[in-house]
Amino acid sequence: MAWTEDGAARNGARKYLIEAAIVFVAYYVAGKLGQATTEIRSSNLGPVWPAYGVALASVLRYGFRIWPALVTSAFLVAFQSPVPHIAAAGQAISATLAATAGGALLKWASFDRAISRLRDALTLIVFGALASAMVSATLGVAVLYATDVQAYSGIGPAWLIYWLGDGTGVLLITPLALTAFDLVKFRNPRQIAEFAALVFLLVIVCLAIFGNLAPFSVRLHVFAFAVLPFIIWAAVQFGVAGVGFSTLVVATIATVTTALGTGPFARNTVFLNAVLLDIFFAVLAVSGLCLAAVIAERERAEKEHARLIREQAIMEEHLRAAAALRESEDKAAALSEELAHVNRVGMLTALTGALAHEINQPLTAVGVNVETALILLAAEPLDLAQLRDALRDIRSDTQRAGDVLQNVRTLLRKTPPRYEPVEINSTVGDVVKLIQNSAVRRGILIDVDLTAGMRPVRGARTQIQQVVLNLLMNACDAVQGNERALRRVSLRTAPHGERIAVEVSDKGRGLNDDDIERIFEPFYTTKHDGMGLGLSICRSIVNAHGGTLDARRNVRTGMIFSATFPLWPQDDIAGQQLRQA
Amino acid sequence: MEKAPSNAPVVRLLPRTRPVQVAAVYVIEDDHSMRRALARLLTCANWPVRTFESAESFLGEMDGLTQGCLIVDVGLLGMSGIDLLATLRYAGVRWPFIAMSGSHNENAEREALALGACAFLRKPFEPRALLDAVAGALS
Repeated sequence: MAWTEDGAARNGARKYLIEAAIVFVAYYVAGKLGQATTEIRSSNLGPVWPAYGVALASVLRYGFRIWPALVTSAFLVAFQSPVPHIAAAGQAISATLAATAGGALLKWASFDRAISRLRDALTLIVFGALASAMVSATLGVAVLYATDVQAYSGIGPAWLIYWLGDGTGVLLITPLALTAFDLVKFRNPRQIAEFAALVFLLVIVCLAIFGNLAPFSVRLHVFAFAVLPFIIWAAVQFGVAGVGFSTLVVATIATVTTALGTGPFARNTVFLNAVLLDIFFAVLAVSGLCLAAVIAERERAEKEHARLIREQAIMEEHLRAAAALRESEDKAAALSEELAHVNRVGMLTALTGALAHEINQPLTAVGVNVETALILLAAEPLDLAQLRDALRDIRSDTQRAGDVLQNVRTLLRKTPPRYEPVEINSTVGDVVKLIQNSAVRRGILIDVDLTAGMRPVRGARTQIQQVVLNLLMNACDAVQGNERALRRVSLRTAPHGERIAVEVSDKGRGLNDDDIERIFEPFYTTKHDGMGLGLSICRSIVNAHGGTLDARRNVRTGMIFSATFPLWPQDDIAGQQLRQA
Repeated sequence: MEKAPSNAPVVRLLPRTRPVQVAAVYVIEDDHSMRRALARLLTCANWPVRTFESAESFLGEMDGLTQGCLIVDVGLLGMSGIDLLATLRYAGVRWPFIAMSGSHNENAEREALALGACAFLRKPFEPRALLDAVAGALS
């Protein structure tokens, strides 16, 4: 593994050397450019000191460890200027210290190098351009004063121009240096063309204002702000990098032309010109930077918003799916209940419907033929042949109706119940399970009280279940209208002589004596949507088992339906075995 | 009474002409004994009757028929009575139409009456009611 660590270390060192070289060269070039303007003007302090912007950007980009490159490059730049070596060394150290201090401040303020938020732009302006440039100016002027380069009398204006130069250096260079890669990312030819057009027009306008190109000589400072729309254009279309590049173009042209003695900023003393230029650049850069940052922030917010909406949509989709699943589960539960109901009532309805239709035809035909016969009998002369035909048809239709009923009877007789030993508790327990879901959904509580250890009854399990289901559903319907606490139904099994009783009781409104007497009659119902067949079928089932089904009033209110089924004979060994199996 | 303005619609009282030939009754019913019974009853009531087993067979022969009253079971096999009624109305045939139904079907009843059936008879019906409906339809 040693060789990989070694390789990584070598890679790291190479990376550092490359970064240091870039910073060294960049600072040196920027420093030379800064000095170039002062050389044109024959003054030591230029209006813009781009090298400081490079220094701050280097610290922000590559970290504090880049300081050796900064300090050597700064020393070389100062060394080549007409100041004593000791002053050059002091200036290099002070610039490096100020830049690292600025970097620390910005880091502390959690500055983001992308400058895509307004707070990043403001942090850079306040901590980078104002505060750290103040550190740089204070240290730098102190060094110049200490090395006797700067006399005490002019120390105020010297500090101001030092500060303004470094501050504008940060404003013009640092954002561009940090975001320049954004400009390289342009792939869209339309975007490239637009950027080229922006730069071209900006150069023309700058030359017109600051140079001698215009047919008239621009003398008012305010005309310089004719470049502002281009800065706004750059901010809107190309962001922080666009603003940085555009302001740099303006600053370069303005500085050079002013140094050459043309444009609105060349009309006062060198000092005042430099201050005015710096303020002009600062206003341009601050406005452009803030605008670009705000736009970037808004775009980010919009993207974030879109992302949130997308996520919300996905979340809602999940919720909907979950709800759909729940609903389908509910539906399944409802369906099982419905199926039970269909078993109970629907089959009868379908049967009666089919029966009615089958009997309807012959019955109607008989009616029509009887009417015809009556008409024929009233007519003169009597048409005996027709009359005979009508009567024959009546006979065959009557036969047909009888056949239909006969068919139904044999159909019903096809499934004779097979009585077996039936363990009553598990049998009714299954019914409770079936109905439980829908009962819970209707807020009905089913109390189950099953006596353990009872002998099996003699019966058909599904038929007994049909009876219990019927009784339970009736009881649920009876308590449906109650307040929630009283929506209770109870199911009890208990030995009852040589039988087992299954009792279903409710706390509904109950029935009056007349109803209780008639409730087991077919087609008698107390429900508005009932068929009136349930209890009559139940009773016929129970009676077929040799049991009883009775209704009585519950204590205070409600009903108790009690079905009894005879026990399976105890001496029947086979039955016992069957039960145990 | 004021005189109606000249642009008001003029109500024309056309003289009522009784058909010279007694209109026929066409029974369309798939149940054999019902068909026979209805044909016998209507014949006894002095209506010319023709019976058809299905809506399709009626439509197949319809071109050669004189205008008459239809008595149709809505629950016919194949094309239903309601479909037949809708087809006739769509084709502009406005012959009187009496619907019968063997099963209780409120939808069919509503539809038949909406399509302009003059009566809807639920089996088993009073034979008199049928005769009255036919007489009413052909008067």
